[in-house]
Amino acid sequence: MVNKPLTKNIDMSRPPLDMAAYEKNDGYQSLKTISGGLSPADVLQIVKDSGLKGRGGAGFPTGLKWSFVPKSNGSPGQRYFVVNADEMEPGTFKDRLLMEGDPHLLLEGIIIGAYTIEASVAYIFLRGEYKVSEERLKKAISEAYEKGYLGKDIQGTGFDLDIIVHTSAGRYICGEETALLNALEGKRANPRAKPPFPQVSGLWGKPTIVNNVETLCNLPGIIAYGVDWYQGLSLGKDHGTKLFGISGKIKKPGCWELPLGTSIRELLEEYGGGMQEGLELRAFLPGGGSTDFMLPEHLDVKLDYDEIAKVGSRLATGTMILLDNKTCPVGMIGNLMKFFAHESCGFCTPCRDGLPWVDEIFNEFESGRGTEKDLKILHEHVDYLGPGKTFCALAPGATAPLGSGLKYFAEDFERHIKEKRCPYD
Amino acid sequence: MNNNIIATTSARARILTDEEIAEIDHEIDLYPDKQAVGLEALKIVQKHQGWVSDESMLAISKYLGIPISDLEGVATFFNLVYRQPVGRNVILFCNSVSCWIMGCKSMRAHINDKLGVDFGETTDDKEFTFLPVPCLGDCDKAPVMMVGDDLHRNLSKESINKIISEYKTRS
Amino acid sequence: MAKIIVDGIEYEVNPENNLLQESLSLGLDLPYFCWHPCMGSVGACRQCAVKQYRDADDKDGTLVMACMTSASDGAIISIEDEEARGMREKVIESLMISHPHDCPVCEEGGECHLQDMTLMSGHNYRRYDKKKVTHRNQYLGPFINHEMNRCITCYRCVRFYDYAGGKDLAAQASHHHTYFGRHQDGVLESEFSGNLVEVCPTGVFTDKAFSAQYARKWDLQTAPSVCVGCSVGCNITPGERYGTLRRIVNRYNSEINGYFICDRGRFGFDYVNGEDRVEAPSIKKGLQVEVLSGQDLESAIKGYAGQEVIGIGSPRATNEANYALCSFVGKENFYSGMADNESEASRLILELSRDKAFHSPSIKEIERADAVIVLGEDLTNTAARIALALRQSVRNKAKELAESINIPVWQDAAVKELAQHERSPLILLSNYATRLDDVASDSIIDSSEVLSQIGYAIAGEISGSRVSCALMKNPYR
Repeated sequence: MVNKPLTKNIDMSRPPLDMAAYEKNDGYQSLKTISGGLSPADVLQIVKDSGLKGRGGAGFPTGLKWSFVPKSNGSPGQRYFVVNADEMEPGTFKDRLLMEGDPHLLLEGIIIGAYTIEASVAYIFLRGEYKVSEERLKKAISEAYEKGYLGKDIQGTGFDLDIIVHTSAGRYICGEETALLNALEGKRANPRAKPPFPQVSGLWGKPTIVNNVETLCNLPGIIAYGVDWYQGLSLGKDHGTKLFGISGKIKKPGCWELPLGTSIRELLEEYGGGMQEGLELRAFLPGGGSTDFMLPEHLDVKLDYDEIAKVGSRLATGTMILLDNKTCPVGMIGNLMKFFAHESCGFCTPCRDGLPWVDEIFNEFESGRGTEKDLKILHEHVDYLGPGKTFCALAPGATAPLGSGLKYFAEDFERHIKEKRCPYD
Repeated sequence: MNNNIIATTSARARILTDEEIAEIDHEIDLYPDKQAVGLEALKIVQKHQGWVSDESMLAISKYLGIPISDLEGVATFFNLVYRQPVGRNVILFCNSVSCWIMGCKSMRAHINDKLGVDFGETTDDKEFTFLPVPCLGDCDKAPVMMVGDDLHRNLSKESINKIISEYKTRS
Repeated sequence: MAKIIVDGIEYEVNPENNLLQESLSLGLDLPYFCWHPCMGSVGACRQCAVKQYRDADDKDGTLVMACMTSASDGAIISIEDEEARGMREKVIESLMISHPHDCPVCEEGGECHLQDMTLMSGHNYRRYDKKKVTHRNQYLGPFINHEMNRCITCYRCVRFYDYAGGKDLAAQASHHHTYFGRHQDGVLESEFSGNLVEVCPTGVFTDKAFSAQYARKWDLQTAPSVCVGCSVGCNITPGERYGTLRRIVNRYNSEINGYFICDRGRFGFDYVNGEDRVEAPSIKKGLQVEVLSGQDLESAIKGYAGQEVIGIGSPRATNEANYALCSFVGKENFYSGMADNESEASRLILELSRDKAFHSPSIKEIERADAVIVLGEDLTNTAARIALALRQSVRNKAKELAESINIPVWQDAAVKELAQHERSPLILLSNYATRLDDVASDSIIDSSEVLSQIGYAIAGEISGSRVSCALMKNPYR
């Protein structure tokens, strides 16, 4: 039985599988299952039962998200399905792998999702810099139309679907699903207030689902092989497999599909090969730039949503960024703060005006001019930019490495102040 | 000073080329509302002209019926719409966290030395424009950068020298 | 009505509104910037943070933005809560980090919402010691001055501009470089641009004409007045200093102009200060104009006793002046200055309104209308404030849609997003294209004859019987 449903077809040393090869490898099997008599409600139930959680960062149950789309009672009206392929979380490089490595898998996932919520149009909101993904997705889409997996009356189900690739022009905030919808409508990508949620009033005011690439790539397997198979893939409480990546000064940085519930130690040592010679692991961000630091003492924590939450961080994108003992933690956090300050859309006050202040303070620290007063202001901003205070999750995301960093690396901040320079330079 | 480019002199719309119009028309078919095509049209024009001039802004605004102020609001919001002329090759240099840990700072200094330009600047010979870009999503091969549409991974001073001379001779 | 508890005290509120609006209506001090009573809430500034509690047992509470939270029955909030106060202090501190603190030379000084809110929020010491963001300003025409460095990015200006149907002012750039301006220097196109001066909570947009002859607010002599620019009767406050009229600002009247007036009303007063303005009775002898004193006037008038004298009044002169002239020359020798047909039309309108033959809707009622037909009038040019009201009336369809899926109508962005291009009917019948065409569901451009035929047909349809054309004389025929 398949145990790596996301990457089974991926070999980056060759082009991705074309339609014929993909189909030969059980591809589009799920469409046959659906056309064999699964209603949208049936698919929704399967996805709910599978326990699949969103892989974009928030980890929200996918089936539950879909269930908020109003019941159609046979006349759904216009609905949209949107793929969040705007991968830009610092340190995150998993969706690129899926889109470049196996574009048909994503398309199959989109067809399942759109069928479930009865959407006739799907947009892939793709990061503009992902040129190879764009080219490969467009080729795969064209093959899918030729094969009758897209277009009118797909596989005799009466279901119509068009998939359109929309390439963005570079803004991290577009990863926030409502900002993404504004961008797709050709507006400035400011997030929208929730409620109303996109499921009720989304793209052009119509019911809309936005899912991450990796989330959707889980669907073909779930439909084709069933819930039991899917739940059997993982080692822990959360189900399925997940892409886990490592960047930083490790021997073999990379991205692997592993069962949820794998230990962090296994990932780092078995797959990453351990830290580079002469370096020690100081701390790591477990799931991209907007997660809290974890420490070596957390290495035996399982890569599960709840397990990581228990130690005060988030699994989020599952792509880890490692901090070694010879890299300045203050500099690393400063780099992240600069990113978040620059990528703030400028809509709400704490994020727009708070993050640049934080960034300025890190500049001072870097050049040896940081003061105790600056440090105090950083601490205040952890609270001020936190959840519930800002309009969206961008600034709260920034407070994750900031807050945990101030806690874990207090001594480093103090040394910058006392020594009036970066002690790592 | 906030140097975001907002046109200060009056300009007359240029005439969009047949090719640009054909590509914009293709996009119009894909969306229920022309406003959605605004950003696409900016990118199409940029692909052909290298950047988006005031004259092009006006032309797109007229063609799509989007108020020019709104279109400018979109153009200046996104990182990759160039409202100033850029060099023949645009270097998008990742300076996010993984690349930072892997030493992108010294790579930046190297490019700076080699080309004599820092972020936001264009070489005198108009060959290269050097821009920072948020995480390019290839973090296990950091440091990385894009030149034009191509991604270059595991950068070192040597590989940067090679890349730059390759693009220079590609003219 | 709903009951809410604010800091332990129970109040009756309207559950259709949000907590900010209701708190302000109750006279409670809660600072805010981006919310505006006419434009609803967007939740951008985060200045109106309050603590909300699930129930009486909830001691922790959650921070919410009052403007984005319904004043629903049973809501328990605290404005005085320490965390909420702390949040508001931080927000105002953030907003002020790049503000130039040029209050002594700012035209807004003394009537600045930002000054008031800064004080109210308790921000009185500047800790920010890093680089400020600065901007270039734009030339926006003869009426409005632009000083972007004062901006606190509340988005009110662009939201108002959109409210008024303007297309040439928008948010530009992003993060802390967000900029509010045109795509390039140039005269603001909206006929309501002057309201930016009042909508902006600080001195980004100021009254340029007033600046040229500036006086501090407290040095102006003001009196409640009514605009003479058209027949709408917007309430205004003119301000005088040293014998010259310096500026006109809006005076709130819920049934008429509300918060906004048009640019003609605001800026079109300079004739009052004109050097060649006729301020006293004069007599023209050949090419010479001789100003008469009170005494001279008496004797000049007496000189014409027994002769055939006619008096020509003017609809632009005051009733008092017209009446005095009419009394002097006698009714039979007095001409109102209006052509007969126009005079007849005015008389008919007066008669009909006196008899209450029809209901003349207030601007507030126009804004609430389900459908509107405008027959033969270019309202933007003849009664601009009504045109602004019509722009709001077409949004009623959007509000209806929003209510149908439980989106509160004050959730401005969400309502617009849901409705997209759906609008309530507005049918314009005019001789030429007008500024309201962009929001009209139908715009019929034709000759006056054809338009009046349509008018009769509509009247017939409404009254249920065919209205004979003979009953109504077309005064313009």
